[in-house]
Amino acid sequence: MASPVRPAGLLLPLSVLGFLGGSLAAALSDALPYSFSFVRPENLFLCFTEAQIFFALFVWPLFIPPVAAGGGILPLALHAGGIVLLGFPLALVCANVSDAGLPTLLRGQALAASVTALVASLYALGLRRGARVGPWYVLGAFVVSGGLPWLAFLLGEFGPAGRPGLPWLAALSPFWAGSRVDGNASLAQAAVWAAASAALFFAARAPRREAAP
Amino acid sequence: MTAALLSAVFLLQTDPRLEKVERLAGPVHRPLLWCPLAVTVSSEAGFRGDVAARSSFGFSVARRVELAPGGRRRLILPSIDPVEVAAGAATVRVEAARSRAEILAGVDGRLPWSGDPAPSEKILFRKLETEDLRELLDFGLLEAFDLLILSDPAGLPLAGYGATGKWVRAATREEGTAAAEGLLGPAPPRIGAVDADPQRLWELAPRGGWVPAKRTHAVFFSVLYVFAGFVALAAAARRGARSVAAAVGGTAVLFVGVYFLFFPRGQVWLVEHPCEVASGDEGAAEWRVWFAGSGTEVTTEIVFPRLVKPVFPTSAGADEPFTVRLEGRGCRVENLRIPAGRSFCFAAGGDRAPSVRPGTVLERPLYRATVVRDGKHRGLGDLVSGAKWPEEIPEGGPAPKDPEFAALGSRFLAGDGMYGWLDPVERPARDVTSPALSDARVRPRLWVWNRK
Repeated sequence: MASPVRPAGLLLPLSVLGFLGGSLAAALSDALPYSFSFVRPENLFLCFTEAQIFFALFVWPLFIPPVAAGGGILPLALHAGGIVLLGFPLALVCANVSDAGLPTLLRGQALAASVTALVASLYALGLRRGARVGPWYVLGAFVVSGGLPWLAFLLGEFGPAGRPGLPWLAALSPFWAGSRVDGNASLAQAAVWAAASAALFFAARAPRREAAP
Repeated sequence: MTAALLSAVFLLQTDPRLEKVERLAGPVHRPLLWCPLAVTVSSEAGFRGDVAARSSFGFSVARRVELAPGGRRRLILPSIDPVEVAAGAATVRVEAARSRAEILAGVDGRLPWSGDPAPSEKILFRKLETEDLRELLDFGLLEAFDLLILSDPAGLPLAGYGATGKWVRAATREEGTAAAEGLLGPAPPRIGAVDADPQRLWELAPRGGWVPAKRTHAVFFSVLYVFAGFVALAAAARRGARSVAAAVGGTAVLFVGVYFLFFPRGQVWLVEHPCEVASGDEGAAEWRVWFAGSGTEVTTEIVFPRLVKPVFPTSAGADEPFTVRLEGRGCRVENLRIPAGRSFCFAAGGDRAPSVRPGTVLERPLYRATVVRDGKHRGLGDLVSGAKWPEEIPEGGPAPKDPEFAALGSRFLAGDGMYGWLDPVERPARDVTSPALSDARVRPRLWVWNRK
């Protein structure tokens, strides 16, 4: 007998397709009353990578609790893999339009996959320990993605004269790495997030220590 | 000592040697039009390479030459405002044009007086060798000439030249001089290397920077992908989680395959605007204007079916040098660097068989046909094949604001006449190629007829 499909198991791939495919169609077509003037042929792949990172950081967490409730780490990992797999054909198209080579395509996909895995592992660890992950995760994701780059910008523009500020703060943001898929910075950050995900997944799978009576 | 000196002199001589570089149009200053050169090159050791004319606009026109040891050859080399001619290590500066003549008249070398025309301050007569005449007309290189004085026009492709210049048959010097003096007045319309005319060709340049085919394909791909995913998931939902996983994987793999099979490669797009100018029963002139652009920065080459002239939007010319290499009747534009979102314009003119002969009945459909009488334009709509040629036309109105008519039609329409489009829709271009070509389209051909 076929195992029943949970609603999240259907809604998640539909959301991936709708978000990524719909964003691409909206950016390139004239269907909307306004145009995405910042999207140009040479930066289409970059914009798509940023969209993938946005989905991984802020939409994917909405599906994690029901998916994790179904049976632990493995379904979570499979759903994370499905997100990356569903985005790959659209990434190919965007890389073609932007004339981005294979290394750039693979760097972008590696970054998106590592962020997706990191979010899943954070939630997995939090849910394993019975913590309320959601609100703290959103705050942390917002701070790392946008707050730190903004702080780096403010320090650079308005900080003490003669001091370079703290530009490395921006380098913690996945969106910063997504804007640099042409170089190795994105690959380096992807490696860091992948290592962190692996560590968090292992920690989430470790047996709980029972408190002493 | 003498032998040593001779050896030194011999070593200083380059091989090949440019024995003579002659402006066939003479010293008249028409920097935006084709200026054909007659170049004589020789080589003691044998030479296989390019003879190239470098233009002040930053590009070169090259022609491949092969000389046996001790060989010598004279060839026609097209150029635009040439500054230098080079063959191998040999270079020759081209003298600047200094003539103040208003009229440039080419005289057929077969005429007995061709080497001794009547002297005139306003008219510059240039003898054109018979063996050069056909080649010059075939390539459209005589556009700088206001008048051609011919001995016998039979067999010469004159329709293309006739759209922008005048030719006459004149046996005597007096007849030729009278024909030239009758031309004093406004110059006929020509497409120059800089788009400086009131009818600006660059108004036709596509905007936006996207490769049209890629943009359309990307939108269709994404919509089809989403729809296919939805259908696959809806079908698999009733069959369990494994079916859903298979639907996800299968849809992704299927569309990766669709991408590799159908999605256009290359970054360069081309759009052609052709214009045919009917000239009585002798044939028709055809102007073909191409715009080549790229979504991202690319350096490539483009092969055209005719010799093309670059048309720059400003007199600054090319940002980076490129080469127009003659190949048969066509040419290959090499080392063309197209920045992202920008385009290049190339134009070519020549003869063609007339598509429509003005008469009593139309031989083929004419779309958006318009008759011009006394400066008034009267639209007749689409005329089907077999429709009668319009005779009495009611009162018309001002010229249309159609950009194609403004850039091309108004350029060649002089007074009363008729114009329309010979094709209903645009079609793929098949005679222009490039390794980086993604999309090539031909706009409907504009047809112009002048009632004389």
